[in-house]
Amino acid sequence: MADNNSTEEKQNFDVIVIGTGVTGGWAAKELCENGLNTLVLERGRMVEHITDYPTMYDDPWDYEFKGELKREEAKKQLKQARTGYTINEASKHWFVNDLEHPYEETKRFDWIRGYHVGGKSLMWARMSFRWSDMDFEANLKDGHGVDWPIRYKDLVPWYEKVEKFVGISGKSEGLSQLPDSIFTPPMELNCVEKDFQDGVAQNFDDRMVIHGRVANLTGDELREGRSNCQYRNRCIRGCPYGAYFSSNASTLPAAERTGNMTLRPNSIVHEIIYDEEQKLAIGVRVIDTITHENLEFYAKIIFCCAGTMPTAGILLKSKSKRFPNGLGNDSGELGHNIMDHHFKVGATAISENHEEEYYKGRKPTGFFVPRFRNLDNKKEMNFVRGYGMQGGASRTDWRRAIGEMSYGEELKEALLKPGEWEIGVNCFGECLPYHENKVTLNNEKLDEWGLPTLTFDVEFKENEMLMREDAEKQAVAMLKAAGFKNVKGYQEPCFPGNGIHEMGTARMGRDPKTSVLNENNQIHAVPNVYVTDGACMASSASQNPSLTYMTLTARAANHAAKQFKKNKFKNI
Amino acid sequence: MNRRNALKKMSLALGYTLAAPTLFSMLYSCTSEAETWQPLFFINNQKYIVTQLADIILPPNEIVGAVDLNIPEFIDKMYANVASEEAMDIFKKGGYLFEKSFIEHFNKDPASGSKEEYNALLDTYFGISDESQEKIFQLTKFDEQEVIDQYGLNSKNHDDYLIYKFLLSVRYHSLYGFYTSEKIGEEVLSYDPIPGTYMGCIPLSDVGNAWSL
Repeated sequence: MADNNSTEEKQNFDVIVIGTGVTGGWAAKELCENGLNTLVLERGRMVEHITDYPTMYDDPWDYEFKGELKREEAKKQLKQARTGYTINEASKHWFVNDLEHPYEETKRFDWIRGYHVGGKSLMWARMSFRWSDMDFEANLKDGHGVDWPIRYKDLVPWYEKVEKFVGISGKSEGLSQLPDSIFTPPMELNCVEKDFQDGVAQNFDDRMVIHGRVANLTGDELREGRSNCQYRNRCIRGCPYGAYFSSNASTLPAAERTGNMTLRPNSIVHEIIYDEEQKLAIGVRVIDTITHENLEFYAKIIFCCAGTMPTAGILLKSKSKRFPNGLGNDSGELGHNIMDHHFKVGATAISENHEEEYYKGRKPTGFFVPRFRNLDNKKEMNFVRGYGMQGGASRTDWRRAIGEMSYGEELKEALLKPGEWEIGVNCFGECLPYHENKVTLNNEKLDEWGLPTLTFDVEFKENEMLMREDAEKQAVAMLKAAGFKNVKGYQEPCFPGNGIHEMGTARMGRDPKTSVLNENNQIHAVPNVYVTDGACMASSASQNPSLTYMTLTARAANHAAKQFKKNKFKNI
Repeated sequence: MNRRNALKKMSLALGYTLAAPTLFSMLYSCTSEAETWQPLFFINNQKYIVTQLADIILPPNEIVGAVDLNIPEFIDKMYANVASEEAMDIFKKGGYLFEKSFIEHFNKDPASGSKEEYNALLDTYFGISDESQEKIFQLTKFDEQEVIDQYGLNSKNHDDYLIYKFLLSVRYHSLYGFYTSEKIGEEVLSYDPIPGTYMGCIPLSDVGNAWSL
C-alpha cells in the first residue's frame, strides 16, 4: 500500500462514501447509524448549514445589478447559465466555473452541477415522487433497456423510512401510477390553480390535477435541526430554517451525531483501488485540492455517490488487469444508457377571473398532473412511456408592461397593482435508455488536476419527440377545457442535461452481461462497491428522481451494513 | 445592516416567524446626487437625455419618480457592467440617432431641451397605433445584422430599429430599476420578506399593492 498520507491522518475505515449530495448524505447517515466507521469524501469545499449561505436573506435591491452578473463574470459560467435560472448573484456560487471544469459535447449536453459539501441537495427543486410498478416494469414490458432487478414492493419500506425523515408535503390521492408518500400537510392551491383542478376534473375522466409534492417541511412533526417552511421561495440559496431537505440540514448532521463520521472536503476521489487477489475493492485514490497531495484511503466497502457523471468517470478510470475497461465494466454498459427528463413543453394561459383576489406567501411548489398516458405500460399512443406536468398560477408584476410603449403617471400607478392571473404548465417526459447515449473519458484533455475530462454524446430521439407533441396538445386542451383564455402551447428546444436529472451510466440489472449493478446496487463482479446515485438507474420514469435515489441508497446502505457485520467482505 | 443581523439572529432560534420590519431606516442603493454623478457608459448628452426620458416615463407624483431614485445612474451602470457588447453598441447608435432626431425637430442643443420637448418627441415614437407598435416589436426581435441584411444599412427600418431599441431599453430599465428599488420594494409595493404562512386565495384588498418579491 502506498504511504503518501501524512502519518497523523487516519487511513483505514469500515466504509468510504464518495460524495455528499442527496445520496452521499443518506449513505453517510445510514452507515454511521449502523455503527460503521465512515469516511465521507467530498471533492468540493465545506459548506456549513446556515453559516455558509451568504445570500439567504438578500432582496433584489441588495445587489448593485439586481442579481445580474457583470459580463466578465458571466463568461465564467456560460454552460451553467443554460438553465436560465442558476447563474445570478443569489446562487452562482453553488455552480462550477465552466472554465475550470470544462467538458466536451459531441452533441449539446448541459452538465449543470456544483462541487461543495451538499452537492445538488442544496440547489435542487425538491419535487418528490415515488415510482410505481408501472415504472419498474416498463423496460421488461416494452423491451427498451434491461429489466430492473427490483420492483416497487422492494422499495416501499425504504420510501417510508426516507419520507419520515425528510418530510414531504403533499396530499394522498390513491393513484396506482403515482403512489402516495407519507405526507406532511400539502401547500394549498391558489384560486386559479383550484379552477384548473376543478376544470380538469369536470372535463376529463382519465387525468387529474393534484397538489405538488415537495421536500419542504409543513405540519407539526419535530425534526432535529429543522423547522417549517416560511414560504420565501429562496430555497436554492440554502435555508436559514433548514425547511427543505438538504444533506447540510439533515443527513450529514444525523451522521455527525453518531460520532462515526469523518467528513473530508477538498478531496477528489479519482480512482477505486482494486485488489486482483481478493477480487474486491480496497480503497480509493484521492487528490487533496488544498495540499495537492496524492493520498489513499482504505475501507472494506465503497459507496459511489458522486453523481451520475462523476461516478461514471471514477469507475471508467479505475482500470486494472481484471477490468481493463473500467471497474465493473464486464458488460460494456458503463458510461452508456444516459437518460434525462425532457421538458420545456406545455402551455400558458390567463384567467379572466379573481381580479379581486390574491395570495400571501411564495410557496415552493404548485400543482402536478400525474402521468395519464400508456398506464400499465399499455401502448395507447404513438410513443411508449409517459410524462407528468408541473406548474402554477400567479398574478403578473411590472414585467407585464415590458412589451408595450405606455409611459407616464398612469403606467406608474397601474404597475403598483398586480396584473392579471397567469397559469403555466410544463411537461416532464420520460426518456428511454439508449445504449448509444454515452459519456466517455477524454484522456487527451486533462483538467487542472491531471485527470481526464468527460465527453458527452447524448440526444433525445423519436419517442421523446412524439411524446412532446402529445404533451403540448394535452396541456393546451386542459387549459382550454378549464375555461382559461389566451391559451398558447409552446415547445422550446430542450437538450439533455438541462433537466438536471441525468442518470443511467452504471445501470442495475439481472444479467451481468448487460448491466453494471445487481439488485442491491452492488457492482456484479465487485460486491463491496455500491453505486446508489443516478448512475444506477435502469430507466428514467417521468417523476423527479431524487426521492428514489435516497430510497435506493438507504436500502443499499443497510444491506451493506448487514454484509459488513456478517464479515462478508473479508481479508482487508 | 442592522436589519440583516436582526433577522439572522431570529432565524437561528428556529421556528420564529417575523412580521415585515417597518422601523428601520431607509437606505437607497445609489446615493449619488442626481446632478453630479459621473457616467461610466453614457457619452456626451446621453446622461441628460436618459434623465429626461426616465423622468417622463416614471414621473414623480405623491410617490417619488425614477429620477429621484437615481434610475438614470442605474441604467448607466447596467450598460457599463452587465449588458453585452452588442447591446452596448446598439444603445450608443440608437441614442445618437434619437439625439439627431431631437435636433431635427427642435433645431436646438439637446442639452437645453425641456421636459415638454422631450415628451413631445417621445410621443412621436411611442404614441403610435397598436398596429404600428406590433410591427416595431416584431422588428426589434431581430439581430441588428438581420435588419441590415433585410432592409439595408442606414435604411429607415434600420434607423427605426436602433432608435426603438434605445427607447425601449431606456423604458425597460426605468421600470426595472424603479420597481426593484429598495424604496419602492419595501415602502410602496407590499413587502413580505418572511411570509411565515401561505394563503392561496385572499381578498386583494387585504394586501393592497402588488407584492415586491
